[in-house]
Amino acid sequence: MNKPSDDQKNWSDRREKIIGLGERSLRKTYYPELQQKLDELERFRALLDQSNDCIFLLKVPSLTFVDVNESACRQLGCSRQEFLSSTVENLFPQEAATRVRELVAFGHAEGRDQDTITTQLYRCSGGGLPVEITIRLVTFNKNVYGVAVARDITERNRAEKVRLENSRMLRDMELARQIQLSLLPTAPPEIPGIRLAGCCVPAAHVGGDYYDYYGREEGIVDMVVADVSGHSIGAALMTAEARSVLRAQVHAFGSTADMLASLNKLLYEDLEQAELFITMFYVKYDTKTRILTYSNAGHVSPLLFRRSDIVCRELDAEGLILGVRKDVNFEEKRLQLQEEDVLLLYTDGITESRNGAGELFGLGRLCGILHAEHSESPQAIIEAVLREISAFAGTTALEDDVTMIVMKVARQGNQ
Amino acid sequence: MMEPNEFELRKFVAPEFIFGIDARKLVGRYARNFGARKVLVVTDSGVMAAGWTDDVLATLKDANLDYAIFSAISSNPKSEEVMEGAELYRKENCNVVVAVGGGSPMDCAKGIGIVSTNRKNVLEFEGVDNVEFPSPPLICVPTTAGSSADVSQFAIITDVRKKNKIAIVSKMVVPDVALIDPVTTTTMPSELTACTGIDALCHAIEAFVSTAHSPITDVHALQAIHLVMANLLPVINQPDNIVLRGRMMLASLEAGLAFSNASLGMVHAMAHSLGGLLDAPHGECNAILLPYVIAFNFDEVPDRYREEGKAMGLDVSRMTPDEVKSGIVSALERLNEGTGTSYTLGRLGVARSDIPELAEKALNDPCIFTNPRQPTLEDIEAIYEQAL
Repeated sequence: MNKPSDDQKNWSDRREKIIGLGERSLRKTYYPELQQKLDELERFRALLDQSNDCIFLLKVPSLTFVDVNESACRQLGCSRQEFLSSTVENLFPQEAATRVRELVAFGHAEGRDQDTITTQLYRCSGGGLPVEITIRLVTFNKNVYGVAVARDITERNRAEKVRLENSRMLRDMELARQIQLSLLPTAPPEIPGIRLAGCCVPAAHVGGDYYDYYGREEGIVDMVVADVSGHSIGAALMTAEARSVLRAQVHAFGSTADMLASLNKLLYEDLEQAELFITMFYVKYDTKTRILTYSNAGHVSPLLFRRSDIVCRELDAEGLILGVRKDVNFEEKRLQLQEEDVLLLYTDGITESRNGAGELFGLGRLCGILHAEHSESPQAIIEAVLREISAFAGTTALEDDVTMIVMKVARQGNQ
Repeated sequence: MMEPNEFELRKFVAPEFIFGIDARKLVGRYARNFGARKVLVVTDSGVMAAGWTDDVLATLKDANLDYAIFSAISSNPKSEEVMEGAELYRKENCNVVVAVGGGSPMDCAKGIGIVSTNRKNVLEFEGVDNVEFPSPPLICVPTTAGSSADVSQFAIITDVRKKNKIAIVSKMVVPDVALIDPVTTTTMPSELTACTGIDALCHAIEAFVSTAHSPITDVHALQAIHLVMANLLPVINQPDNIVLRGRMMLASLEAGLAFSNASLGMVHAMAHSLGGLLDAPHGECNAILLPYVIAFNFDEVPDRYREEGKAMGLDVSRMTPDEVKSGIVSALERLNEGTGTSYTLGRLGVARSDIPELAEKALNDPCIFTNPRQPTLEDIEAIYEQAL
C-alpha cells in the first residue's frame, strides 16, 4: 500500500503537469525538428561540396542558376554570387546552352528528361574547362529545375589524344612497312656464272632497309644494299624515290662511283629537306671477267669469303653517306673474284643484334657462318644467318631490319 | 445591448507564458526544449547588476547549454545596437535568444531575432506585417512591470540618424515563451516602478478605447486599469512586498495582452515621437501626455471612458459625461503627483520649436491608426503645446 505522503506527492505532480509545468510541456514548435533538418542539410551540402564534379541547380524556364556546389566555384573560379546572377548563356557556349534550352522546351513532349553534352564551361577567371555535362529535369514542389552535373574531362581528352596519336603512328608505321616491302625484288634474276639470293626481314619497328639487283646485258649484274635513316613513312617514300632513280639510271652509268655521285646529287635536296640520310653499297659484277666493281656511301662493308682464306675479307671504299653534301666523289674499287667466292652484302641490323647480356652479334660470328656454310647455296647461307641471329638474340622478334644479298660465284664450267 | 460592430473580426495572439514566483528559473528547461545549441542572452548592465541575469545564466548552465551575452544596450534601443547583437548572434553561431530585462533588452532581442533570420537591416521591418520569417525561439524574462514586450507583437527601435522611433508590428516578433517572475521587479528603484506602472496603465487605457479592441482585450484592459490604480502607490511605499509586486506584474501582463492585440493610440504615437527626438524616457512621456489625450478623445467614446472610470474606482453611476472626463483626468493627475512623475514636456527638454517635427512623426506612427478620434496635424500640435 502507498503511504499517504506518496499519494500526496503523486497527486501534486499530476496537478503540476496539467498546469503545464512538466519537464516536456511546451507549446507546439517545429524549431527543434527544423534544427535537425538543417543539420542534415548542412551535412549533405558538405557531401556535395566535396564532390569533384561541378553541380548546378537551374531554374526552369529562365535557366538562371539557383544553387551551385563549392567544386563549381573552385573549378570555374567564380563566386556563388556570380553564379546566382547568371544564366546558362553566361557559362555555357552557345551550342550547349541551346541544347539545354531545347531539352527544357521540347523534352517533355519528346518524352526525354535528360541530355549529355560534351562541351566547355567558361571560367570567370578566363579560359575554358572541358567537361561532360549531364543535365536532368526534376520537379520539386511543382517547380521544374534542371540539375546539371559537369565532370572535368581534361584528363580523359588527353588520354584519348595520346591513344589517337599512337594508333595513327602505328597505322603510319604499318603503311611504311607495306611500302618498303613492296619495293623489294620478288626473286633474284637468273644469271649464268653466279647464284643469287636476297632477303629483307623487317623488324617490329620498321626500318628503311632496301636491296635490289639489276641484270644487265652481257652477263653484268648490279646489286645495291641501302639503309635509310628513320622509321617513318618519310623514310619509306625516300626509299621508293631512291629505287626509282636507281632503276632509271642503272643503264646510264658504267661506273659505280658515278652512279652513287649522280644518285647523291639527285636525292640531296629531298634528303636534306626530310632530314634523312641513306647509306648504300653499290656493286657491279661482270660474270664474264669475274671482276667486281664497287663503291660505298657510308654503308657497312660487305664480306667476301674465299675458300683458300681463313678469314673474311671486308670490301671497303671511301665515300660519304648520301644526303650530307651535294657534290661528293666516291672511290671505285675493283676486285677479281674466283670461283666459289661468296659475297655477302648486308645491313647493320645483323651485326648490331644484341643478346640478353647486351653483347653485339658482331662481325666475327657472321664471318664464322660464312666459313661454316660457304659450300651451301646462297639461300641456305641466308637461312643459316637468320637462324643464328635468332638463336643469339634469344628471340625471333628482331630489333632492326635484317637485309642481305648473297652472291656465290659458280665453279668453272658449272653454270 | 449589442453594438453594431460588436462581432467584427478580431484576432488574439499571445505567447505561451508562465506567471509566478521563480518563473525565471525555467529558462534552461525551455531553451533545451527548443533545441538550443548556443543561447544569446540579451540583457543590460542594470539588470546584470541586480543579479537577474546571473540567475538565468545559472539555469542555462544547469541545462548544459552554452551561451554568449550581449549587454551593450541603452534605454530606447538603437538600430546599431540591434545590428551589433545580430552580428554577435551570427559569429557565436547561436540558435536561441533569451532576453532578460525591461522593454529595451526585449525589443532589442526581438530585433536581433528577425535580423538573424531575414538578413536585413532592422530598420527595413518598420511598419505592420513587414517581417517575412519568424525570429529564432525567443524566451523573455521581463524585469519591469510595464513594457510587456514579453507578450506583445511590438518592437520599438530608435533610428538615430532620423531621430525617430520606429515601430515594428508583426506576429513574427511575439516571443515563444514569457517567463514572468514578479521577484525580478523587487529591485526596481521607485522612479522606475512608477514610470513602468504608468506605462502599463497607459497601455490598458489606450487599448480599451482603441478602435481595434475586442471583448477579450477589454477584459484584460479593465483588469489592468483596476490593478494599477489599486497597487501602484502602495508598491512604491512597500517595494519589497511581493504580493503588491505580483499584482503590478499581473497588471502589466494583462495590459500587454490587451494592447498587443487591440493596439494603442495617440499617447503612444506622440510618446514614440518624443522618445526618438529627445531620447526621453517612455514612461514619463506617457504619464505627461495621457490626461491631455483623454480630454481630446473623450467625446468620441464617452461610454468606454465611463467603464474605464469605473475600473479606476470612480463612482461613475451618477456622473455626467463631463464629470467622468474630469474625474478620470484628475485621478490620473493625482496618480502622477503621488508617483512623482508630474512633469511637463518642457521639463523633459522639449522646446516649442520641436513641436511641428514631433507632430509630423506622431501622425505617421502605426499607433495613431487605432485612436478613437482621428486627429489632424494641428490637433497633435495643440496637445504638445498644452503639455509643454
